[in-house]
Amino acid sequence: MSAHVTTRLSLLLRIRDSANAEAWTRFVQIYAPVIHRFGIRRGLQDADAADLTQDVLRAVSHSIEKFEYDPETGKFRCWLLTIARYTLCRMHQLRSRQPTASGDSAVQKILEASPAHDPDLISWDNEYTRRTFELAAEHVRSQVEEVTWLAFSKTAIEQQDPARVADELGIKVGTVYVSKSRVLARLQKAVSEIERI
Amino acid sequence: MNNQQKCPPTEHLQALIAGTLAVDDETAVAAHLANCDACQSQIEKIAAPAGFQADVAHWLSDSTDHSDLLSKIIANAEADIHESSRELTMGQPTVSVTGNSLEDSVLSGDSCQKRGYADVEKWLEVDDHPAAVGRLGQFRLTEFIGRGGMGTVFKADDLKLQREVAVKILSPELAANDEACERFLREARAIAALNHDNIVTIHAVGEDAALPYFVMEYVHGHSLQEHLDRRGQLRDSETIRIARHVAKGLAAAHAKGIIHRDIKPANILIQKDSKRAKLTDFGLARAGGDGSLTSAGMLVGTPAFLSPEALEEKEIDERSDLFSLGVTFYRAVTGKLPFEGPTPFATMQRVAKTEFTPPHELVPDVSAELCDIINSLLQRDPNQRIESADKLVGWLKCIRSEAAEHADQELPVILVETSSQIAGDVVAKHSQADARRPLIALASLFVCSLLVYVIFFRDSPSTSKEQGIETAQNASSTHNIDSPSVPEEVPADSEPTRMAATERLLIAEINTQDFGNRKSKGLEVDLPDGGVREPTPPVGTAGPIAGVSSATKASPVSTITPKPIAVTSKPYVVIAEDNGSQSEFDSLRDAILAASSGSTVEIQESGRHTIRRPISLHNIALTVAAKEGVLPTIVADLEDSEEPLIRTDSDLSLRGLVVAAEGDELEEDVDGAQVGALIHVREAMLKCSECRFTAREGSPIAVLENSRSATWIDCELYSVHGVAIHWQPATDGYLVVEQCVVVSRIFVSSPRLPHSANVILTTNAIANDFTFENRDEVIDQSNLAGNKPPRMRLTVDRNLILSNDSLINIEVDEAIPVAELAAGFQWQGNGNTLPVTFLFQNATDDEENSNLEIEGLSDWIKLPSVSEVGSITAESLESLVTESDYDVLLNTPQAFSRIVGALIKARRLPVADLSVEQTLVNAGPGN
Repeated sequence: MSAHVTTRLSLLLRIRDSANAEAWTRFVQIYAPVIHRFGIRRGLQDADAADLTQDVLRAVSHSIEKFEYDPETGKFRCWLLTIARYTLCRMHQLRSRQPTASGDSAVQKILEASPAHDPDLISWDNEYTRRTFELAAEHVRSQVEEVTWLAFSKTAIEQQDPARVADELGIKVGTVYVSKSRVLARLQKAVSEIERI
Repeated sequence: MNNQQKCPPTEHLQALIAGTLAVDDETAVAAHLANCDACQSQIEKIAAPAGFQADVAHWLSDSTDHSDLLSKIIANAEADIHESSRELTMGQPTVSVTGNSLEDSVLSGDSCQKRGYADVEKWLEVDDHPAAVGRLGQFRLTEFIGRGGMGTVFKADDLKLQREVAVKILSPELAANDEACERFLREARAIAALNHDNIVTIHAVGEDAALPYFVMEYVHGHSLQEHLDRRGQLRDSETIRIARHVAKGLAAAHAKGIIHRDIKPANILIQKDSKRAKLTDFGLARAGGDGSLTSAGMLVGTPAFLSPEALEEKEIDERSDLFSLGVTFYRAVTGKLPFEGPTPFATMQRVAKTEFTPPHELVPDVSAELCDIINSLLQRDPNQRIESADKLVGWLKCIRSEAAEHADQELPVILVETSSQIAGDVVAKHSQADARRPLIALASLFVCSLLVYVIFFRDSPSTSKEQGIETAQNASSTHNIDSPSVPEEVPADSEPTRMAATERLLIAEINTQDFGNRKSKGLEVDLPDGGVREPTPPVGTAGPIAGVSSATKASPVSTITPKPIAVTSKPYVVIAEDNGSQSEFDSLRDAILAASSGSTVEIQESGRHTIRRPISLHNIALTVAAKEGVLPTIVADLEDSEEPLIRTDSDLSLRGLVVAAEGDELEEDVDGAQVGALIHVREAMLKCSECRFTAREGSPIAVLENSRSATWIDCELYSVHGVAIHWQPATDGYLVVEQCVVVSRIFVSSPRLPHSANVILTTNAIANDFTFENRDEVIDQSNLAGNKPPRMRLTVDRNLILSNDSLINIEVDEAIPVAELAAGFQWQGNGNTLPVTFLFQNATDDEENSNLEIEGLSDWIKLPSVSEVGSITAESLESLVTESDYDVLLNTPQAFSRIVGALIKARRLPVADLSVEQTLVNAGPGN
C-alpha cells in the first residue's frame, strides 16, 4: 500500500551512526543560539529569529552528507553563515512579497564589503566562540559543586576580590584559588573538546 | 614539604588541580596560596593557557538566557536527531524478497517506512497501553500497516465494539486543506455505501478527531502484491479466482459510478481463511460526474498499472480500471509486468507505445482463455477492451476451473455431469483430479465458446474472423504442485526495487500520435502438446507426462495451429554495426569484450547480470542496451577493486539499463573520491538514456575525463554520500542532463576557470547541487584579457530543485576577485522551482574567505489555477517551498509528483526534445 518516494535522502540516512548523532546534537546546541542571535542582531523579533533558526537547521540537515561536521575549518562556519544570510534574505523577500531584487544591488553591497570588514562575519565568529564557552560553562558547572563554581565565577568572571568571595561563600581564601584553578582547567578542556567534535 | 614559607613545586600545583594531591598537602598548599601572589599566578598558568582566563571573562560576562522559543527549537532538534539515530541503529530493514540490497536499504526507504507515520503520530491521542501507537477516539491504534492514497493506515482495536479494525487517517499536510479533507471523507462515504463482499467494508467515518479518518474492516491476510513477492506468480486457477472476486467488486463500484483508479496487486487483499479477494484503497477513487479530472499535471495511480488514456490525461471511465486489472492479472500469471522501464517515465512510454509480450510466450501453458482475457483488458483503445466489469465477471465464470474453488461453485450442474462422464472414458492413468480439470474446462469452454467468440471477436475488429475460428481452445492448464516453478531470479529479484521506482508518480506529456491499434499477438494461441503441465522438477506426482497427451487431441472446436515455443537463445547478443551480424554470448563481460567498435550489445533477459571483473575498452565505441521490453539489472560486484566497472576511451552509449554497484565503501583516493566509479570515459562521448544508476557508497557514478559530451536523458542517478557525475570538460564540452532525477552531486572540475564549456540542465528533479571546482593554482589571466573570454555557460531550465542551499557551488583555490570569477559564467535560467543561487567559495583555510552569494534568476512558474483538490497553484507552490518543509515535498509522493508534473505540464514539454541533440550536433567537436 505504500508508495515510497525514492529520491528522498531522509535525515535517517544522513546521520550515519550514533557518533555523528552526537556531533549533530552538539552542532544544534552550539549553533542554534548563534543563528538566533544573528537574527536578533539583524532586527528580527524573537519569534522570527526562532523561525530563522529552524529554517537554517533544516537546510543544513539536508546537506549533512556533504559535510562531516568539522568545525575546525572556517569553511563550514562561513558556509553556515551564508545559509543563514540567504535564509534571512528569503524570509524578508517572502514577507514583503516583493519580486526578487535584481542581483545587482545585493552583489554591489557584498562586493564592497571585504571579508575583513564584514560585520556579519565578525560577529558571527564571535557569537560562535561565545556559544562555545557558554556550552562549556554549562557542562562544567554541572560537574562541580555549586560552591566551587561560584567561587570561580565570582572571581574569574565578575572579578571580585577573592577574600571577599571567601567570606561570602564561607570558605577559605585558599580554597577559592583552588576552585578557580580547577574550574579553569576543566573549562579549558571542555572548550577544546567542543571545538573538536 | 613546607607550607608557609616555601612555594610548593609545580608538580604539586598540578596535582592540586587534578585533585590527586593528598588531603593534608592540599590543605597546606591551599593555605599557602591564600597569601602567595607568585603561586596564585603560577597555578593559573598551569590550569589554562595564557589569556584563557581573560577569554572566559570576556565571553561569559554577559551571556543571556535563551528565549523559550529557542529552547524549544533546540530541544525538538535534539529529539529528532536522537530519534532518527536510534531508529536507524535499532530498526530492521523490511524484508525484501531478493533484490539489490544496496538499493533496498538505501532507496526503498524501509527506514522511511519505519518513520512512515511519524507525522501522523504527533496528532494521535495518548494511549497507555504499551503496544499502542496512539489513540483516536474509541480506537486504539496498534500497528502501522502502510501509507496509501491520501492517508496512513493502522491496525486498531475498537474498544467500544471489541473488535479489530483498520483505521485510515488523512495525512496531516493534506488535512490542512479543506478540499483534501472533503475528498477523503467523500471517498469513505462512497465506499461505505458499496457494501460488497469483494470490497473492504467501511464501518465508520470520523470527523471528531484531530485528523479526519475512517474505519474499515481489518482483513487478515496479505495483499496480492505480497503473495506475488513471495511466490513470483500464481497458478491459473488462483488468478482466475482472484480475478473473479475483484471483477465482482469492481462491477459493484462501477455500478455506483465509482472508478477505483489505482488498481494494482498491492490494493487487492486476500483474506486468509476464505481466500476471498477484496479491493481496497479507493483512496484515489472518484465518483464519476464529479467534475473534471486531474489537472496541473496530477496523475494518480502507479505508472506500470495506468491505462494509456489515464497517462494521456484524457477523460477516463470505468474501462481504465479494467486495463489496470489486465496489468494485474498479467503480473499474477506471468510474474512480470507487461510494461516496464528502468524509470517511471520509460515505463509510461512503454505503456503508450510498445507491445507487451503475450502471456503464453512467457508461460507456455497458461490457460488460453485467461490469455484472451488479459489481452482484451490490455487493449490500448478502451473501445477494444471488455466493455465492463460485469462482462468480465461473466467471462471469468466460464472458465473457472475446479481446483481453485471452494464453496461458491456456480458451475451449472449439467456440465459437471457431462464431464464426469467423459472423464471416465479418457486416460485412466491420470489422476482423477487431473483428468477432470482439463475436461471440465474443455466442456465448459465448448459451451462458452460461442459467447466468447461474440464478446471477444466483436470487440476486436482488427482480428480476422478466420483467425478467430481457428483459435485453438486449449484445455485450461493448471499447475499440479504448490510451489512455483519459477526461476528465482527473474521476477522476484528486481521486483521490489523496480516497484519502488515505478510506484513513484510522475508526469509526462506523451506523444499521442503513435497509439494506433495494437494488435494483440495473443490471438494465435498455442495448443501445447500436453493437456496438463508437467511440474518442474517432477515431484513424484502421478501427473501426466509432459509433451504428449491424447486427452485433448480430439478437440471438437477447432483446428490446431501449433506454434513453436520461443527458442531461448543466449542472453547476450552482439550486433555488429557494419553488417548487422549477430553473435551470442553467455556472459555479459565476454560479450562486451568481444564486441567490435560500433557494435551494440543487447541484453535479452531481465533480472540480474553480474559482472565481477572490471572492463577496460580501448578504441571500441560501444552501445549497451536492453532489448525492447526487457529490464536488466547490471550488478557491478568488483569487491575491493578501485577500477571502474567500465573504463573506456571511446564513445559509450547505454540504454534501458539498471546499473548498480555492490560492495562496501572504498577508501578514499588521495585526490578525492574518484575510485570505484561505474563508468569512466576519457576523451569520448557518453550517452545514457532511460537508465538508473546506483553507485557504490562514496563513489561516483561516472567520471568523465576531458569530456567532449556527456548526455543523460531520463535517467535516475543515485550516489549515496557521493558524487553522481564527475565531469571534467574538454574545451567547449557539453554536459546535458535532461528529465533525470539526480539525487547526488554533480561535480564539474576544470583545469582552469573560466573555461569554455556548457552545462545544460532541463526539467530534472535535482536534490543536490552542482559544484564547479578549479584545481589549478594559477588563474589563467590571459584568458580573461582577451576579447572573448571563455565562459562556462550554464543553462538551467525548468528544474525541480530540492536542495535548499545554493544549486551552483563554485570553489576555487585562490582568492580570485569575485567579479572576475562571476564574469566567467554565463548564466541562463528559467522556470526553476527555487531561486538558483550561486555560492562562490574560497577553498582555503585562509581567514580572508571570500564567500559570497549571487542570486540567479528566479521565476515562479505561472501555473494555471485549478479547482481540483490538491492541485498546485502559483501560490500554493510558493508556500509549499517557502515553508522549507521538504518533508512534504520529498515524503509525499503525491506532492512530489504534482510539482514535477506541474513543471512539465506548464511548459508542455514534448517527450523527445530534439533541440538539444541538434545543438550538440551542430556544435561539433571542440578543438
